[in-house]
Amino acid sequence: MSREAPRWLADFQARFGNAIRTPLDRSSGTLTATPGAYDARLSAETSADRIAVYNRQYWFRLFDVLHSAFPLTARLLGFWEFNEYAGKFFLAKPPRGWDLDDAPNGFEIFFRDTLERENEDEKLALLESIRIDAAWRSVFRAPLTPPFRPSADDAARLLTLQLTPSPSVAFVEDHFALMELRKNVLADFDRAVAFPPRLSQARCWALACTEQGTLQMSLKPREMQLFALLREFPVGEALARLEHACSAEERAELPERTRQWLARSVEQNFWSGVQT
Amino acid sequence: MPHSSTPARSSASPEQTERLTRARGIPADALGLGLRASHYPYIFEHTPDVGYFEIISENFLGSALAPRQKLERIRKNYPVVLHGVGLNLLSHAPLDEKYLDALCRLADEVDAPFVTDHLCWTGAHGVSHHDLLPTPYTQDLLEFAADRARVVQKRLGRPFGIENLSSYVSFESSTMSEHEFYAAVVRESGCWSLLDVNNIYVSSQNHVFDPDAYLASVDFSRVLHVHIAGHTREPSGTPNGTIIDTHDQHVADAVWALYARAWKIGGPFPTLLEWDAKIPTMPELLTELAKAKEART
Repeated sequence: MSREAPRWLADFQARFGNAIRTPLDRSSGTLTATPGAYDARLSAETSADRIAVYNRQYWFRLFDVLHSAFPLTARLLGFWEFNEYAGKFFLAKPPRGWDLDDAPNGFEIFFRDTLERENEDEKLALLESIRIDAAWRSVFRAPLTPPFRPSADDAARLLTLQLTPSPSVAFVEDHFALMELRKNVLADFDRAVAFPPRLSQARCWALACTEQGTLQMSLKPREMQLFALLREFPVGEALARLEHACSAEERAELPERTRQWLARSVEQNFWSGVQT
Repeated sequence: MPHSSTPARSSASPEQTERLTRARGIPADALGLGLRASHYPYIFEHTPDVGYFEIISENFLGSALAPRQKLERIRKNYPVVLHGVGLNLLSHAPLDEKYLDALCRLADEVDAPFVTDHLCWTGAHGVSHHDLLPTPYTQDLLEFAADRARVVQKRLGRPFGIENLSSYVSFESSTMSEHEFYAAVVRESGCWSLLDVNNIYVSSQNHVFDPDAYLASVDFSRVLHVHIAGHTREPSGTPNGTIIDTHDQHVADAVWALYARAWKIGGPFPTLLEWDAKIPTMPELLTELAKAKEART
């Protein structure tokens, strides 16, 4: 049984914590600490300017971690506006655990629910951008999961099985060439970027973290649709639903295509197991 | 700032030296680097001459595939020691059992000779600040801290080193100096010391004390290794010009001088360079690290 903490410690840490979580002041057009808001009883010997160091460090560390987690969105929106969403998010949901990389958890939903943008295309691009950032983040942070390799028995009853998606694979739709823009942003994070125009046809991508590193694979729209269905339904039902959605012309080629797509998905470790 | 020009050499008994050698598990004069993600390509291609790497424990506690694979490759060629920023030793809250479990597993996996963390708190009341925060230094906190550090070392089943903090504020309610508090926690806990020379310098400037008096209080027979790093002096603000422990530039001359005096008192000890932001190329880092050899002569 460990010794109990001194009685004053919890109160001291509550005061100090409140001081350093004080929101930074934006009124001057820059983000500055607000020493006037600190609890004067916190420190008798040290000036409030010194507490401001911790105050700034707290916020800029969180801004940095959010920029790293959602680089495309931060760059597309601009750091100043992005940080405004970040500040509100962390006031509502301060970091709880020891892992700083967990701090952005939930930001995607917060951003989606609070985003204000008059220009409809820009709003759609931002919503798609945060989905893409979140997908990359989930893929990169996925636990090591052995890939599904079908046994002879699995192959024989494949149509009745439901495939379990691997946590290290994600699928995204891209209506604004945002995947390419994200690559450019990561290569030069300091360069401002403009909102890209809408594409005539959406692009579909699979993102994966493999033993060889992270990779992105271009998918046909129907292939993407198949993988979406496979995440919801047993293989047989997914194939039936896909066939139903296809034109007569597409249906003629569908058996061979789906066989290729399924084989590639297994080869690329899209699945981690099966449920009966 | 006054300091003695001829520091006295620390005299450890043969038993203490033997115990220290066992605890370190790496050569006494080893030169190491804090491992950062931007280093991987160079290390994998060139296998540079580095005595050991120190990893930030929290970066590898999760089960994500990519960091684990890279760590495995590093581990094949170098000793790896663990350095944490999330233990939260001085928090009023109980130690995080899940965190400790994960830390023990990681230490076992990389066969770390030792594990270290800071004499500070990082979170309280359910909120983590992800910063190394100071407290008032008092007798009751000392006993609490020593007890917690002892628990951690026992859980780890390997030497646990406590790092002295750099700080920007001090508290009227303190009843002892930081170096008295630090030395006593190391001594009373039966744990070890990770002595950060840059932190001593930063705090000595921010709180106006003699860094050599700090060094004189250190029991070098319990120093697992020494950290060196760069810092930044804020151009304006407080009358003294606050120094921030940024780890984003070359080690300051004053810190090298303090390191040289530490070596004279307590050397040899393994020495590790930390560089966490605006990280230069590996060859530049190695050049900076090599300055430690010059400082030792």
